[in-house]
Amino acid sequence: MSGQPPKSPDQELAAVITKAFVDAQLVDEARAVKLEERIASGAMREGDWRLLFEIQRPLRNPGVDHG
Amino acid sequence: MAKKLESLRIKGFRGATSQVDFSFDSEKPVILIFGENGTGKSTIVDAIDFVCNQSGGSLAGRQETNLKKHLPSLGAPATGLSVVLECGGSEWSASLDSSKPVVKGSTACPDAAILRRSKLLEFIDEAPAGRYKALAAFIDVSRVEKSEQSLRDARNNIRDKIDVASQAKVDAIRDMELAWQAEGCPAPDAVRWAEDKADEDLERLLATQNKIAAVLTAFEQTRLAQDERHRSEAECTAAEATLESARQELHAAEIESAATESQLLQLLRQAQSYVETHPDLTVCPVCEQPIDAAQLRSRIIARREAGRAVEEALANVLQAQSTLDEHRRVLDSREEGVIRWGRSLAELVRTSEVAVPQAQSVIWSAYPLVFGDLDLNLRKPAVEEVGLMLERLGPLEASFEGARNSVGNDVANLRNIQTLSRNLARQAELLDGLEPQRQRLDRALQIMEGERRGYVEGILDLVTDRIEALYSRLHPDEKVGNIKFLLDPDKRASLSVRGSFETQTDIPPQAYYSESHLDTLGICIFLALAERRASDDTFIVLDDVLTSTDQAHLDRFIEMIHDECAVRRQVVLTTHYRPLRDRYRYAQGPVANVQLIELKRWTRARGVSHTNTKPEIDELRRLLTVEPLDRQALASRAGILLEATLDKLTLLYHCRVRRQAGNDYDLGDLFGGIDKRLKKALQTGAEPHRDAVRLEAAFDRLASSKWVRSQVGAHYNYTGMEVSDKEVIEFGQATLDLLESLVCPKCGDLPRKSDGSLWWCGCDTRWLSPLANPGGSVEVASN
Repeated sequence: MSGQPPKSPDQELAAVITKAFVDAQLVDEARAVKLEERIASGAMREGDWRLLFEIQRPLRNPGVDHG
Repeated sequence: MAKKLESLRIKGFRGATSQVDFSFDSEKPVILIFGENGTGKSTIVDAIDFVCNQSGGSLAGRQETNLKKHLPSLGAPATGLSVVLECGGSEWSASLDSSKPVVKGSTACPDAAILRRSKLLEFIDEAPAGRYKALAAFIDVSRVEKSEQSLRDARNNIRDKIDVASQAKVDAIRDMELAWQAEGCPAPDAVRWAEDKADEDLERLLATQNKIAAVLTAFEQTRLAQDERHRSEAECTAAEATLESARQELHAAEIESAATESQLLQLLRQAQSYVETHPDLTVCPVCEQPIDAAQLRSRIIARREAGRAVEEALANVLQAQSTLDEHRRVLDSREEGVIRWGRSLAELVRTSEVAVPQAQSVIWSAYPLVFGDLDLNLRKPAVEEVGLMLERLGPLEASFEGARNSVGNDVANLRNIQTLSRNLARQAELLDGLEPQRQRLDRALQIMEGERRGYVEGILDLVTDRIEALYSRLHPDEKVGNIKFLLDPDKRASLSVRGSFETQTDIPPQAYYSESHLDTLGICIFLALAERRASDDTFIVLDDVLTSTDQAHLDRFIEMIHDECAVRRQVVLTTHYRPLRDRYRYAQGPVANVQLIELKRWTRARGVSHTNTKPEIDELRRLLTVEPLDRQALASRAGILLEATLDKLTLLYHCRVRRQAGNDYDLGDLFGGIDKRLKKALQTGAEPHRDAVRLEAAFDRLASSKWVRSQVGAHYNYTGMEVSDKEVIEFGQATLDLLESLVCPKCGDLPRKSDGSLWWCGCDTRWLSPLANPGGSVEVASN
């Protein structure tokens, strides 16, 4: 078979979601790779999300265009 | 173009009772396997499915079947089952281990996307949930949905915590307001009041409470000591009476026993005790005269026996005296207790910080013995003084009890306010921490839901756009289509299908479309999904999906397969529908791009067998070279090919053809349809606008020889026998020349696609003009 195996729908979507998290400054780049894998595999648990967003970091106002 | 199928060997598998080998032409993007029912088409598709998808194929899921028993050919052992597939230079062999397919190969199997007739309507007829399941391989993002659900749970959990904390905050404020109101609203608002109040010194209040408790304890203990003293005094009085009675009894015994006085008996008892503790005594310790200790002891015992009654009375007196002495000691102790508790009480009341009005009027100097040093001689007066003082202080006890209750309430209130205040602060702190977290979780969930929905809908849009493109090729201008798959926003994994019909839009196609329209819709859905899923090594198998259809739809189906599907990947078509095969055979489709395989009749001994089908034009070429000449075969074959070609041309140019019952036109009818103006205008070429060949001469040539078809190729008659071989060959050659002028040497198709000025074959090599019949009044429709 040829080259890299195609991404599954879960993997494709997880990549899109993680990028949106980074763009919204909810997640930093350093965490994004691992987060993407865990979202794609369905491994994220409730406690993981709480822990991820307990970290105090400035949150963009979703209603404001930050350019 | 992806890798191509090269060969397939099937042995002991379903209908293949004997080994059967298929060699595929890797230059052909389409493989058409034609066979009547029961010739082995499904066996071939199942074999491909077995290797590529490790599936039981058409047996999978069928009731009362199992692969081990029913996949091997009838009566053959499972161990003899073998399928070998060659593709792109690699080979895979599959066998049956227990009841599971086992595939061996150096790399992963090529992917085969297989659509069977039985599955044709799966996407359409299923309920929304089932339809989603059927499409799950393309749009299922259940793992992401699982992560999304855990994010939703986390967000909801935080929301719940915020609700609880908010409610606790409200409750704390409400309780504060109640306390504040109970206090008479002493500050501008309850919260500020409570915060100030909570700062008050609880320890000081507790100390006051303890002091009041000590006063009240002193009251209680003083009374208790008095009571105990009274009891001891009574016990002393009783003991004195008992002693007096014992003395009187002793006196009476002494009178009765003159021989021994009680004092003497007491002396004798003590003497006996002395002698018994000194057995070696030889001299009297009193008179210092020599004595015999044993003799003396015997004598003392004898004398004591004589005064036993007196002695017993004496013992009673001694016991009574001892008891009285003990009671007197207890009484002394109790009296000391009364004085001690009385003094403590006096000190506590006198120094109490609690404002008790009556305490101010007590004259403490009236109780000097209570405050002075304890003098044993003054104990009884002191006790009496304590009694008097207790009598004086008695009314104060109720005041101290009132103060105790009041301070107790203050302590409880302060504790309550402090608890409320702490709780309020804790909840506020909790909310301060939770609210930003909730905002992040909300935002993340909003993003995740939106991206997931957008992703799935994006795929569905791509798929439905593709379905629409394919379907509109099959059914142009038919007022059907606009197929859309819609996710149910209120349900997970639920997919509706909608389309349009005539003037109605957003209708379920299954309610309005004909069976054949639903069939072609099912094919288009499958092809669109297969494209979505396919890798470069995927090939598509359509197993007998096309049933009876008219010529126009059949042509469009062939065009769609070649132009839309077989461009990127190989397509294997199986069919029992003879017109599909014959469209290729008679150059009505791009025969050069298809490998035609025809299955022979199946027998148990032979199993599945096949032969390659030649296009009729090739057969015509062969017949022109065969010696001896097969006159009838040549004339017949040329006639049929000429009819097929003229049928296509007269349709293409909307020619007027003499009407026949059942539209069974013969060669003469079709020839008559090509009128003079069209015949003169017709020209064709191999390159765009180059090498133009006018067809008028070819038609004139055929006009003068077409009678050979009926005379030689269709009937038995004498005049036919008189026709020369030369005339037969001329008819065949003239037909072949016309066909070679019209049929594309590259794709084997006739020109049939309009670009607005010319007709083109499928590969855009061979052209034909004019675009419209110069003598016709009917507008030529573009395809």
